[in-house]
Amino acid sequence: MTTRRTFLSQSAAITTAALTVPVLQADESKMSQLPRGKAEHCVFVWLGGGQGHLDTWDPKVKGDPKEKKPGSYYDSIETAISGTRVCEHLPRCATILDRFNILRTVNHDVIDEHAAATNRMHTGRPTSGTEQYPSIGSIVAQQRGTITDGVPAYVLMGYPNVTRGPGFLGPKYGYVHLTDTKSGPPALKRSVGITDERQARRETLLNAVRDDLRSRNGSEGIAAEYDAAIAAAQKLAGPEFMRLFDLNRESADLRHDFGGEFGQRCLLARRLIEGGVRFIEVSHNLNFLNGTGWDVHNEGILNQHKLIAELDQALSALVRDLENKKLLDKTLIVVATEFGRPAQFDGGGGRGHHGRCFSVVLAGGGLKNGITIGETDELGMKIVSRPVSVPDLHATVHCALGINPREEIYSGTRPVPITDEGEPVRELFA
Amino acid sequence: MRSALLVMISLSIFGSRFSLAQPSDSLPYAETILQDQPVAYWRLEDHLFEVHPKSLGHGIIKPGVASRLFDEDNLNDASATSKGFVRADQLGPRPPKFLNFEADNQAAAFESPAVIKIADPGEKSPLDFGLGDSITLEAWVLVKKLGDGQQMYVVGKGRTKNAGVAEDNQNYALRLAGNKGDACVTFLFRSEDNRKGNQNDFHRWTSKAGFDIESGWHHVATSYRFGKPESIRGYIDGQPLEGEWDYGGATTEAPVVDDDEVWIGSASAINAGNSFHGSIDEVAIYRSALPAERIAARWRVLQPKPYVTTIEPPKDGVLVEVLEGIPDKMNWDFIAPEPTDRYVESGFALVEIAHKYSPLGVRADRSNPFVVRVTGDLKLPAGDCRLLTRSRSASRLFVDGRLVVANPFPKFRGDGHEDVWGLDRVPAPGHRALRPGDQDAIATFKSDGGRHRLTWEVFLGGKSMRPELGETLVALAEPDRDTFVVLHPTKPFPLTDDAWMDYDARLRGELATLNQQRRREASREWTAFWNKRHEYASKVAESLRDSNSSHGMTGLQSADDWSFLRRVALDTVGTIPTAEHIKFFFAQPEATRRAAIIDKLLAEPGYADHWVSYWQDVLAENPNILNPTLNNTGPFRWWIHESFLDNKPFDQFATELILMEGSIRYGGPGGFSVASQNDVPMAAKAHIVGQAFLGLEMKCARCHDAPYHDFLQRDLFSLAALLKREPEKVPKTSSLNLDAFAVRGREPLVKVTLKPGESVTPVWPFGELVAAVPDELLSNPKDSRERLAAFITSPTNRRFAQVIVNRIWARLFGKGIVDPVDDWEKVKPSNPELLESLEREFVSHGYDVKQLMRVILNSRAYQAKEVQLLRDSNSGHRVTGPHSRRLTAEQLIDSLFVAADKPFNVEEINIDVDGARRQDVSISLGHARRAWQFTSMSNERDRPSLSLPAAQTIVDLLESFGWRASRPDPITIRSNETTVLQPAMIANGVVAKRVSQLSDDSAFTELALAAQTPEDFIDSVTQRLLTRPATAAEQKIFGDLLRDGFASRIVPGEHPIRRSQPPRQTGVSWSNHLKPEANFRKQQLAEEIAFGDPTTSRLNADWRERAEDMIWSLINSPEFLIVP
Repeated sequence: MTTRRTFLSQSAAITTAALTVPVLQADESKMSQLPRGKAEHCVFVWLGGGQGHLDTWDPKVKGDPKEKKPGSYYDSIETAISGTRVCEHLPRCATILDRFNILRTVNHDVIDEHAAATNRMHTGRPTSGTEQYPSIGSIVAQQRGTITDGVPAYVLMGYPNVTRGPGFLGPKYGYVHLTDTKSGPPALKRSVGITDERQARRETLLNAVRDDLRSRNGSEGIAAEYDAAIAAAQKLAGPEFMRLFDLNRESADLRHDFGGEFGQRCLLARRLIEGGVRFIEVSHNLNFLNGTGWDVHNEGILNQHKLIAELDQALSALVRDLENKKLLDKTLIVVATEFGRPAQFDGGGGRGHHGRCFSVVLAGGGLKNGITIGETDELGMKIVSRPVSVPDLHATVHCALGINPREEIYSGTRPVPITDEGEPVRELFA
Repeated sequence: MRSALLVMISLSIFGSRFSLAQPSDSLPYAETILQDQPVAYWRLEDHLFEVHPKSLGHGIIKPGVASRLFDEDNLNDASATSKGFVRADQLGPRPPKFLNFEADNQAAAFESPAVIKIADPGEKSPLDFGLGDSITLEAWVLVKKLGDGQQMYVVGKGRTKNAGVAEDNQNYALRLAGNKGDACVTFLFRSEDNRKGNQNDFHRWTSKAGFDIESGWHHVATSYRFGKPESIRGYIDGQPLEGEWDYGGATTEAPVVDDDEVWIGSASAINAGNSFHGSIDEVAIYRSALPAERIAARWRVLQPKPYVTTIEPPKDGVLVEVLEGIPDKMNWDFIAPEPTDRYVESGFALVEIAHKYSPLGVRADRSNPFVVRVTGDLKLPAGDCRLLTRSRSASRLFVDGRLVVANPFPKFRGDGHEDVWGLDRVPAPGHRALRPGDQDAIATFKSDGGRHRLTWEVFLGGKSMRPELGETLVALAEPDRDTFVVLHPTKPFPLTDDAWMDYDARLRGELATLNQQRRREASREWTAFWNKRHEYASKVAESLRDSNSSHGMTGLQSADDWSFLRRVALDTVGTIPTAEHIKFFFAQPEATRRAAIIDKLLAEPGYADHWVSYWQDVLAENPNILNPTLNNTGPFRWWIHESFLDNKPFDQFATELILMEGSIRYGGPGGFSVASQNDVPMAAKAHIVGQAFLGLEMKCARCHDAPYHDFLQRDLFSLAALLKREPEKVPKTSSLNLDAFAVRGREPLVKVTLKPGESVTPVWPFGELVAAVPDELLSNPKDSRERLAAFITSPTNRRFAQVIVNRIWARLFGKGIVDPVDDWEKVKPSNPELLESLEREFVSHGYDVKQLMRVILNSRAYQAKEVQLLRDSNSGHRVTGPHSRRLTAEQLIDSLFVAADKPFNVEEINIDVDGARRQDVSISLGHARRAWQFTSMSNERDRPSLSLPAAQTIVDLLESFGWRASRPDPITIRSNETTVLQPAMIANGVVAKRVSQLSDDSAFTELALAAQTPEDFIDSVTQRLLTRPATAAEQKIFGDLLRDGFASRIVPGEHPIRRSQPPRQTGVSWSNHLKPEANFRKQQLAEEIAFGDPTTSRLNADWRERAEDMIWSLINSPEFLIVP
């Protein structure tokens, strides 16, 4: 008896042929309607812990943690966008807010655990058990590669973790990471205590060993492939790229403008852009300032303003600096976080987690800046108009970078669209 | 051998634990009740349920005995209905403890929210109680859960929220109130007024004392005469209790009476917060206030005597006994139960308790909490000895039965804001400091100089914390001495870092041996079952056509000995060969050395290590050390490891995985059952099982019918249902909205034939692989999981054995006979005869993986010269030699450390080192010895304080070589692309730095010290790293480098400076990670780690650096990365 299965395996030739055909035929006329931005780079600022939108980009009536009166923690101020106000601790960004776009209605439903929400925001998808989806940085790296040879496509300033990784795209599209601007990336920065002289000796020895191997082994096969990678690695770790990490080459005034470690990371991001790096994630995790970083439960909120002020200084410096260097239109800045925080206060006067609406901020990138997208209710708890889903946010970033968010990338032979039916925020495209 | 001390003592029954001589007046329980003439009495026996209770939902319960007892007029027909999970086939109170019950007494289990409802017969029914009426309510209860402040119903009338009756119409109720781990008895009713919104119309009396939650069966009762507040009585276990009207106050008012129902187990529309969680038995209602002596008559109970250790401890060791099933309270107020486990260990210092193994031989959890009692006899020096105890939780040390020193029950630490741990707590200078989360105490004991009996009790876990020991020990300082020595009958050792680390390593080794022995003991019957199955399997295998041919293996050129040795070591133990392997190999006669090294390598424990990483990927083993929410599983890596250590037959391995029994968080295959934040975990597991064991790639079938496979979504969900042991529903998230495609004008190529919400029944969907399973393959045919396992592993299902032998082949050759190995649907074997021959070999030898590997490794095909990746198409049935491959990430890391013979020396893989978090949100993966033991560092919070800087250096390298820190999905073939970061990471990273550094714990340092000539050193280093002598060119390159200063390289008079050890303890844990100090300490440590290992002072620095550079260049050579 021919079962459904045996029939198919008998006609294996047919199905194998089908594998080479794009799986989901796209309708070209519809596709062409997607906006296509001209940005070349992306700086993805990550506010780990969950930035409270009421206390930053979406201020509401002031609350009182002692009286348990819900509302913002701070007063608000006017900005360069008429009708859009932000928190009083963002004065520098406020004066140049016409270079920004605030998306006030980003939302998702994963608020119990930071890792799961971080995963949602980085991959644009829920965890499924059938795939490890790639992060947005890895997708951009895979889609657009580097601008110049001999630099990595994706640099991370923050702790390595799964949600920032390449997922099914494989290690080729992973990041080069560093956790401290002074020490540089551990993969590229020369090992502590190795002098120039010693490094030169090492490379001479290695090259001699490689020559010997090639003479015995020929120049084909895996060893040869790896041999070529060594040469590329030597170049990458060489002075041309590594000088980008030397912030002392910037003027003292400019370094001062950017502020502390987070500011220096932003400054480094600009240098990496100049060097041809495509995607840079900059983590603003500096919980020294208030103990908890952006995860302001309980007393963590008492010094939240210091964190906001630090963000204000570094972010505004980055925008102005890019603008001065004529790079702002080519560089999309995304300021994202895993979720927002509610208007209500917890028992310790801080705030819990809130995912039904929160703010993600964009700047530059050749977008129509100076528009604020979406409206939340009087306490910033619910969306009133223009929701932006996480896939929509991803689609917006991809379109700004000239990437088709509907294009399929492959997990083995399985096609996976870059975003999960995300639609770009069309208002931002000319 | 030390391990000889670790002997298992099988448990025997020590006579009766119950005291004899009980009053002869004790009647059968029901008779006692009948004497008191209840108006209602529910025995809650299974046979009194009209609809079999296993069909739960809306069962009808016959009143049974009760019907005869009601007033004859109107209650004879009273019947009850149940809603929610109620089943009356549970064990009720029974003898020998409960004397007046039948041996087969049953009770009803309630899984909150659930209820039994009894209709009120009407006005003025015997179930109605008004002013002046007396009432007694009683029941037996077994409480599983009861939150602090929670009120849960045993039995009550009214307050059902039924339609047609007033709200809050509580005529009376017997309830239990949670009070810090205790269950107190409460009586509740509402005044006749029942004024809406007036809370004071409720009147509640609550007992002051209670009984422990989760402490077995208890009897509870209350009696009251309405109108007489002082008449209230409450009883637990037959004893009257003090209490007070703590809500609404005492009142002389009448209660509200109407025709609402009597409910057992819940109230308020079956509100979960009010619902009983546990078992209830023997519920009775009386129209009288029973006197205290009648209530006391219910409690005919023999309390077990506390267990006393009567076994003599061994002279050269200590007796360890494990006491489980104690109440989950942080105190010592319990009656010591009979031990569930008993073994002998060497001394009074514990780092781990031997594992408990289920009858399947898989790790099982002990009760949480449990107590370990250690007994030993020791000579204590005469005079005032100081005794020190350290333990994570409470512990107490008795000498000759008298309590001498104790650690208290710890206070739970907060979530992040606690102080960073101090690291200077020592009993005297030079001693090992107390570790974070551990506590200590010292007391003096005056000894007569003779032998004393030491009894040491250590409490583990409780309140859902991990049952960890930390560094638990007893040490003694002799009179007038400052040095503490850890108590040990044969080898006492000073409490110093070095001595402790030696002891710790030795003890863990001994425990590994003991655990293996215990697994074997525990699984005797299971093993016998498998032996039988394999007799059957070999008969099936006999019937396969014997096609034992040369499989085209002729004409292959053999690889040279060095290449073969490197290849076979990497393929068996997962590392490059050690100096010892090389020596052994070349000491054998040429003709037999290959077979000899194969046997030697297969017998080494590294064999198991090497297989673990493979199956972690294939089975999507995905633990998370912090707040698992990323489709995480339990760490069933330990079960994989033990399975390969034991060379478990592979069909048994697959079956155990599918049964998913044993510990979830501590290494049993139970860990496979979990998929955090996944709404259909069993569909995920079905996908894994199908792909791993049958080569069925059903990834797409999760959400739709597979476009290029012949799988329907229904096939996957049928497997899922078999795993779930009940029909599986398709959730919305596992479906595609095909309309979305239509909107965009695209034609979907996929089909969705299952609707969300549709229920799929548990049936085997792959009849063409195997249609039926013989009964002898099943130990429990009723279990659908076991049936599924049997369908998969049956020898008549030839696909299973073929998939597994092909997996083994592909791992050794770099390419399968069927390729890809995990998707068989559309590919044909390149050599079917070979595949069948291997299958036959495998099945007839009882699915013995090691045996099959031995056959393959000894074949000419495996030992052939390496073949570069085939560029030509698969022509005919050919076999080629192995394809040269790059080392896997794990092989790279493990080989680097094997080459230098250094341990990893990274932190414990745990960010809750002080054990302050619950086991469901933090686990420890212990101290890594091999690369498979790592996992995601889980620092999504981006906090330096939560980083593990030393472990991170290894994880970085692993990840860049394709290892997955997180494995939410099953894969077999990892991405093996060469990337620029790989050589960069080796060249600049800390790992290669440490391996090349000539520290005092490096094997290369020893080679440098021992070498006679530079050539000698160059040759031995090259052998160690590349498994071959140095080439002439290399001798030249490195000779020029090292000749200068060789003679004077050794610095006279210098000694090894510091032993190898893990990073220093920082005192940072989750409990204090939000303190700025925690960040600073971890950042400081990260800076220290970047320096690598301290170099030896025994070698001249200039020469040493040149030698290190040579090692560095060989590690970085492409040749190091290749399996030849």
